[in-house]
Order: sequence, then structure tokens, then C-alpha cells
Amino acid sequence: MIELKNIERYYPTGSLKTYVLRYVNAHIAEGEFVSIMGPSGSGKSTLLHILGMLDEPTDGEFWFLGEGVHKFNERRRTEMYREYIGFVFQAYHLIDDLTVYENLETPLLYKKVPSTERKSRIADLLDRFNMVAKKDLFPSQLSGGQQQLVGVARALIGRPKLILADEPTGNLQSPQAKEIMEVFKTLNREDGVTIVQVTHSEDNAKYGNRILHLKDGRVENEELVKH
Amino acid sequence: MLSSYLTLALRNLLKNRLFSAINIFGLALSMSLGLFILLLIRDAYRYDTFHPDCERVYRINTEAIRKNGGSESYASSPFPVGAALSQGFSQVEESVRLVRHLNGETSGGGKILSVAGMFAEPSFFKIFGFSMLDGNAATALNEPFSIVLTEKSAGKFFPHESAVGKTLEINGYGAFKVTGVMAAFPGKTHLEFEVIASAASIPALEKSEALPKLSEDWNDYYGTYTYIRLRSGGSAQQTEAALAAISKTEYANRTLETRDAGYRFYLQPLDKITPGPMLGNSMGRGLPAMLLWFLSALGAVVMLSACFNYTNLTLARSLVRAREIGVRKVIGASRWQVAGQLLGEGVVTAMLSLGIGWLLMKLVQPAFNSLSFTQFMDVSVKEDGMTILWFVGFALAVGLIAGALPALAMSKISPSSVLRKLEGIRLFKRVGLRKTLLVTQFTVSLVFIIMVTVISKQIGHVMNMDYGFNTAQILNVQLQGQSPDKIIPILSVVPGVERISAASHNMGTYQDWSDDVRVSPEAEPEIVRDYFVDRNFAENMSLTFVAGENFPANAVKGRESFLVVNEKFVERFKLGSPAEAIGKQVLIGDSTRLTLTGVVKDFLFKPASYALEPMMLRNNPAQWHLLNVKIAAGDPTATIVALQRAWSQAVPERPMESEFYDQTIQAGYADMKDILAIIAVFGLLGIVIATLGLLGMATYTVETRAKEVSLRKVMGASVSDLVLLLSRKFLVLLAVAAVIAVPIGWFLGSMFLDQFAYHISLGIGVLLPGILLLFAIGGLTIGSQTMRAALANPIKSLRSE
Repeated sequence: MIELKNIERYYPTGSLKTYVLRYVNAHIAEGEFVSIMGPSGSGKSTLLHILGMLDEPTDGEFWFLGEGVHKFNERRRTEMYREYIGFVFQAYHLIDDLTVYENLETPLLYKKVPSTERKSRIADLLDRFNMVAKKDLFPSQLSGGQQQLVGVARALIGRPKLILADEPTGNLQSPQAKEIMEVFKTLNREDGVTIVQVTHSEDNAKYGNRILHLKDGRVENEELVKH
Repeated sequence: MLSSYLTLALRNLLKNRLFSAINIFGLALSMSLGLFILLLIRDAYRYDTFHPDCERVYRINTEAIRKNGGSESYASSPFPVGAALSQGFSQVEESVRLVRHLNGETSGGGKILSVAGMFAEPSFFKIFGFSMLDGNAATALNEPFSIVLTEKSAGKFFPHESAVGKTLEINGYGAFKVTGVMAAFPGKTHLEFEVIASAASIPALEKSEALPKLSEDWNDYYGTYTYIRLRSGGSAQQTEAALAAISKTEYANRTLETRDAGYRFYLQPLDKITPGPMLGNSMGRGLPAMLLWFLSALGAVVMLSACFNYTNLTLARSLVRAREIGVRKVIGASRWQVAGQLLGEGVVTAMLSLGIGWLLMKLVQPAFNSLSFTQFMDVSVKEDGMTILWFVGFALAVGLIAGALPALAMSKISPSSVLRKLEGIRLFKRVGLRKTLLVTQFTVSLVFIIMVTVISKQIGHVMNMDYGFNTAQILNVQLQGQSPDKIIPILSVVPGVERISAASHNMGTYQDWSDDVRVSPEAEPEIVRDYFVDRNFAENMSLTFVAGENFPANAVKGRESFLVVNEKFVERFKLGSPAEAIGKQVLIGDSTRLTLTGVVKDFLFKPASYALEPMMLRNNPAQWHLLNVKIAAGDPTATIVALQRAWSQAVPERPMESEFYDQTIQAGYADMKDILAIIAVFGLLGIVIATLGLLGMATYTVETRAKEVSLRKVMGASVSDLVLLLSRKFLVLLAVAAVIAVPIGWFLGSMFLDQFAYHISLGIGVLLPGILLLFAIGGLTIGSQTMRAALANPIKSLRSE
């Protein structure tokens, strides 16, 4: 599904180049659950952003579903967000002015999904995450864990093939974090959604099947998780 | 999708109450004006739409080509031209001639009223869409001395009975038999009349000299209006060619009026007469097209200024919204979907403003409808289903214009902005755009202020100008057709009356009388303005003789033989020194020979827009229309009451009409006062809107820099340091606005003043008050916000971090 070849990302600082990523090669197959770990500044977030097409590599090739991402224009990228990729953010990034229901509906509106189907899909997800009673609340009226559940639901509503999660539990207490990670695990196992997450926590990383350890912008080693 | 945009827009408006209030209030203010102008425009285009086959009806207008190379267009045409066209040209289906000159004291039904109307051929009712309430339209105008009344005038003379069959006696014309009463007009028309008399009466009236001999006169292009309807498929162009041929043959061997070199006839479509270009002899009041354009332009400027506020404040807040837009993009929004949402917010704001603007307009509408100017121009602003569509369309356009820039700029925000810290996003390095908008608003406001200052100072100047003739304590009494020989003795014995003089018309006004003047028979005549006055006039007006003397006391009544002129006249006709000019002969028109008896010192006898010219005072009682009654100081009110009593004893059927000379002269500047009022209203709105915008920007700046201000305060900055720090940029913008506005205001101001031969000089004294006002308003607005920030407890904004 994802093929990274010699990905480099650097910023010019004066006459020097500050490298964030160097010679990153990786292959992520459909159905995998990959965790990216590493100390602060190791480039793990940058790598995730490149995967999410929010950032561009300075050098190297990025193939997504057999297509070269470097050739994508804005429209193609919007299509990717609508059809294939769902995001989960550490700070949730729900739209403050919209209710839970509306936050879930918005991606479908952008995809021009017909009204009846929208209603049934949202009803499904609300049900699945036990949030039916909360559907008319605004994000500010929810706890962090609940907000992140909405965030995950929003990522799922478009039925993406890939979910990118940037420290999804970073702002949460451990019981809530555990709940989110369980959701991820079920999604991966039962729905076959590919997941790539960035995390600091060994425990969270173990929910996946593979861990990429980054250090100073390089992949230091890969570790398969045994279950 | 649409409903989601709407709810979102509404929630956004509620969340940012101050900004929403500024936006909505500013837009509503300017919209109320915009709606008003829309109504005016709609009203102006409602004229003459009810006539049958309107699109084939034209008026034949005359363009008089002057010897000096210029030309002037008239709504009227020579009487014979209509018949000549119908005879030789087959495309004319119907034509009608309307002859002016029907007005006078009219008695009928036991009443005496003044009536104005026209003579018309029977085809009048075939061309125009007027219908008859009583009488037969096909035959009503066939017989000589028949007359058709409007419903209104019939009601005045014969309120309780049928008018048809009754007789109206029009002073100077004879008795007319009423053959019909027209129904109320189905719509507005440029045609002005209270009565229509049959054109068949014209030959007899020409014979009795009640009318000038115009039916054969190709040179009199003032007295007749000619309307034609072409056959369907007829060509206006070919008709004009036929008219050109007529003009060529008819004027080949004719002596034209002194100032004219030739005439061109052209067609003006009936439905384009009002609003239309200004023409000589034009009928119909309505707003001139020029004024409509002027108002629309001013309205557009103010409207745009309000749109700028929206644009500016929305762009300023884009920083806050960047992350929301990033999120939307990441969950699948395309650029155009984001742009649509932002435009939607603009439109929702505009629609809310439309509601408030409409209410505001409703509040001022009664006041506007009762203005004298509105009545005079026959303006009535009314709403109907169509105007509501216009309003909504207008608000939609405003919303789109206001929202366009923010939508375009903010939809460009990249999805990656979702990742960044807010402070890190540098969206609009082009703060230049916002500054430009702000500067534009204040430039426009300052130009308005300068224009208001210039015009009001000029009005003050001309009002207080010394014309060089005395108007104090002079009451002008209209003779209303009464003989001066009868009235003067009656009024002069009234206690408090010092002196009475007679005159043809008022000096210092736009009323114009003139004649061709030569000093030798072979010379080219020149046109000179003249006033017909009596012996007392010079003394009453405190005119000074530089040579010669007044008209002789024993001048033969009924035969005009003497002339008094001003110094300019002596100069223009090269009569030597004033003393040498006395006794010289002056030829007026073709037959009048006058002896120059006196030269008066030059004085301004026309409004300030006219340069000083030659002028003649002539002594012909037949032309006197008013009396200048000099009233002794003391109790003028009592004297006027006494005058009225004396008048009503002599002329019981009509009340006395009088006005003080000063008022007469000031009335001449009513147009200018109207313009001043209009510009002042627009200017005031412009300033209010610009100030609101500035308030919004200042508030925003202060909010975003609250933390910096607190830090500086903790480090020891004084309140004045902080106020200066926050205000400096805005003050610079105001200064830039002033630098741009002053030359523009100066230019427009001089253009205005150039229309006056006597005007104020455009110096620093005129410009400075406006600039100071601008800085005072701007400074207060900025200061109110920056002071608040500078005085706030620093802990508050530091703690919230």
C-alpha cells in the first residue's frame, strides 16, 4: 500500500541543511498496524505528515496504492482525503462550532453522500461508540476521551483504507487511552483498516503488529510485535 | 450542504458578537441608503409605460446648432415639422402636436383658478394611453374651443357635478366648452397639463393675437411638442433621414434666429424621455438621469466601504480560523467547498443587514416623501413584489462582494495548517491589502468631509455676498396680471411703505430676459440681459449713477424710448467713457430705438455662478410683473398685514403673493443646499462605517497583542508608551489617507467652485478642519481600545496562557 524510497526531508539553515529525515525506506502493506516510535525530534511526526500528504519530502519517492504522490495536485489530494485516508489528531481537532452529529456529517457532505445514507452511517458509528446520547452536544461539552472517540469516528465515517494517528492518546488518561487503542485494534483486525500511528508509549505501540524505531531521522530498527 | 453552511454562518456570527455587530450595522446603514436609491431608480423608470405600442412612439426634438459652434437640444420643435413629415413620409402612422402657451386665470363653476395646459390635435388620445371618464375621446378635441379636463382639475372647478357641457373662461383666450374629463392616469407620465384644449382653436387665437403666429413659423422651435407613432416595422433611422431632408429644404432660404446656424431634428423614444438627458423646454419633472447616476455612484462608494469592513475584519480573523479550515481540508473539503462556506457567511451577514437596513429605510421614508424636493420631482418611493426581489438580489450581490476576498484568500489555506501552532501561521504577509482597504475608507470619508466643508462655505459665501444692490427691507409683491397703475397707488398709501418700484422679474435669480442689441444698424447683434423697471427702481435698489441720470419723469407712457445700462455695457459696445455714452442711440431687436440716459455702477445682478456682464434697465410698463415694496424699519409684520388687507380690497378674488427679496435670492441656491444635504448624509454614513471598521481593527489588534502588552508592562512600560506602541500604525494609516484625500478633495472642490464666478478660495482654512476632524474621530476610536489594553492588569492575560 505504502512504499517509501530514500525519503529525505531537510530545512536549509544558513548554508547548512538540517535533516529531519534521512534515507527512510519503508513498506507498509494493506491490513498492517504500524507504530512509529522515537525520541522527540527523531522525525516521527514529520514522517507521519508526509504519509498524510500534509508535508512533502525534499527528496525520495512516495508511492501510495501504486501512484506517485509527488505527482498529486490539490484536487487529487482532496480525493485521497475523501476516499482513502482518515486522520486522528492528538488535539482531536474537532470543529468547535459543530455538534457531534454535524462533525461526523461534514466529511460526508464534502463527499456528497446522499442524505439517507449519511444518516444511517452516522447512526451506525454513534451506536458503535456508544455516543448516541451525545450527538447534539458541542465538542466543548465532552471530555477529552469522548472528544477523541468522535475524532476516531470522524476518521472512520468516510470508510478509509488508511488511518493516520498522530499521538492519538497523548492528551488522554490511561483508561481512556486504552479504550481508543482497543477501538484501533478492532478496526484493524475486524475491518481490515490499515493503521499507522505515532506514539511515545511502548504499551500503545504493542497494539500494532510492527514498530518502526526512528532516531535522528533514520529508521534505526524494525521490530515485529509478537502476540 | 447549504443548510449546513447557513447554520455554521449563524453560529459564527453569534460567537463573534462585536465583529458581527460592526459588520451588520455598517452594512445595514449603507444598505438602507442603497435600497432607497434602488427605489428611486425604479420609480424613475416607471414613466410613460402605459401608452399603446409605446416602443413605436417618439418625440421629435430639435438640436439648435449655434453660430458659435455649440449646440443646444430642445424637447420642442417647430409647429409645421410634424405635418411636413406626415405628408412626405409613409412610415408615420399617427402624429400629434401639443402647443404650449395655454395658461391663465380661468373661471368656471363660480371659481377663478390659475390653469396651465396645452392645445392638442384629436390624435392625442390615439397616441397616448389616457382614457376618458366622461365624454368621447374620439370626438372631444374635434371642434374649436373645446377643452378636456383631468379628473383633478374637473374636481376643482366642478366638485359636485358633471363637468361635460360646462364652460371655462380662460383669461386672454376666450370661452371653452368642456367636452370630456380624463380618468386618473394609469401611471406616471412626463406630460404636464391640467387641461387639453382642441388644436382647432389655434387659428382663431392666432388671429386675435392671443397666441403667437406659430402654425406657419419654422423659426419658433420653442412652442410645440411633436409626437409620432411609426408603423410597425418603421425605422427611426429612416425617419430621422426624412427629417434631415425637411430641415435642409425648409431652412435653405430662411433667415434664422440671430444665434442659430441651423437645426437638426431627431427622435427620442417616448419611454426614454424620463429619465433622460436634460433638454430645453422639457416637460415632466422626475429625477434627471444625471442625478440618478450621481446618487448611485455615491451610494456605491458608501456600500463598498461597508463591504470593506466585512472583508477586513474577516481577513483579520482568518488567523483564528486557519486551523478549522485545515481540519475541513483534511476531512475532504475541496478549495471551492471552503470558499463556498465563506461566501455563505458573507451572504448570511448581508441578508441580516438587509432586514435591519430595510427597517431603517422605513423609518426615514416618510420624512423623505414629505421633502419639498421629492414633491417637486414627483418622486414617490413605493415597494411592490418586484422591488423585494431587487432588494434580495442587491443583498446577495453585497454579500458576495464582501465575502469574495476572504473566500478567495482563506480557501487557499493548506491542510497542513492543522498541525501548526497558531502563532506560527503567517497567513497573510499581505497585511498590505487590509491597510489599503482601511486607507481607502478614510480617504473617501475625508473627501466627503472636504466637499461638505467647501460647499457649505461657498453657500455661506454667496448668501452673504454683497451683490451691490439693496435687498434689505424689500418685499416683492407679484402683480398677478393686475395693472400696476391700479395697485401702486393703493399699496403706497399703506403706513410703513417707504417706496414702491416696479420690475419685470427679480435680479439675483436664474430668471432670464434678454434681447438682441446693436449700436449701429449694420453691426452684428449681441444678446444682452435686460430688466424692465420704473423710475423708482434705481433708488429702491440703491444703484449709483456714474454718469447721466435716471429715466425722465415725464417719459411718455406706453412708448419705450429710454435706457439705463451698466459700465460693462458701455465697455462691450465701445461707447467711450460713461459720460460720452449718454445720449447715444441703441437698437434693440429690429424696431426699438432707445436713447441712453444713464450709466450705473457695475453690480452683480445674477447669482454667483455668473460673471459680470452687460445689462440694460428698460422702461416699459407693459412688462412689469412685480412690485418692490420698500418697508420702513420698525414692524414689518404689521406692514405686510396691512398690505395684504389693502390688496384684498382691490383684488378680492386672489390673495396677495409676496416674498422678501433676500428669500427670493436664497431660494436660487436651494439646489446647492440639496446637494450639500445629500453629500453630507453620504459623508456621515461613510465616516460612521469607516470608524466602525477602524474600531474593529483596533480591537482585534489589541486582543491579539494582549500578551505582548502585558509583558511590556511587567517590564516597566508606561501607559503612554503602550498606547503609542499600539496606535502608531493606525495613525500612520490615517496620515496616509489624509495625504491621498487632500489632493482629491482639492481637485473636486475646485471643480465645484469653478462653476461660480464668485467663490471662496480653497486654502488651508477649508481643508484643515476636515483633516482635524478625521484625526479626532480616528484617534478617539483607536485610543479607546489601546487605552483599555494598556490599563488592563497584566496578570490577566499572562495567567490565561
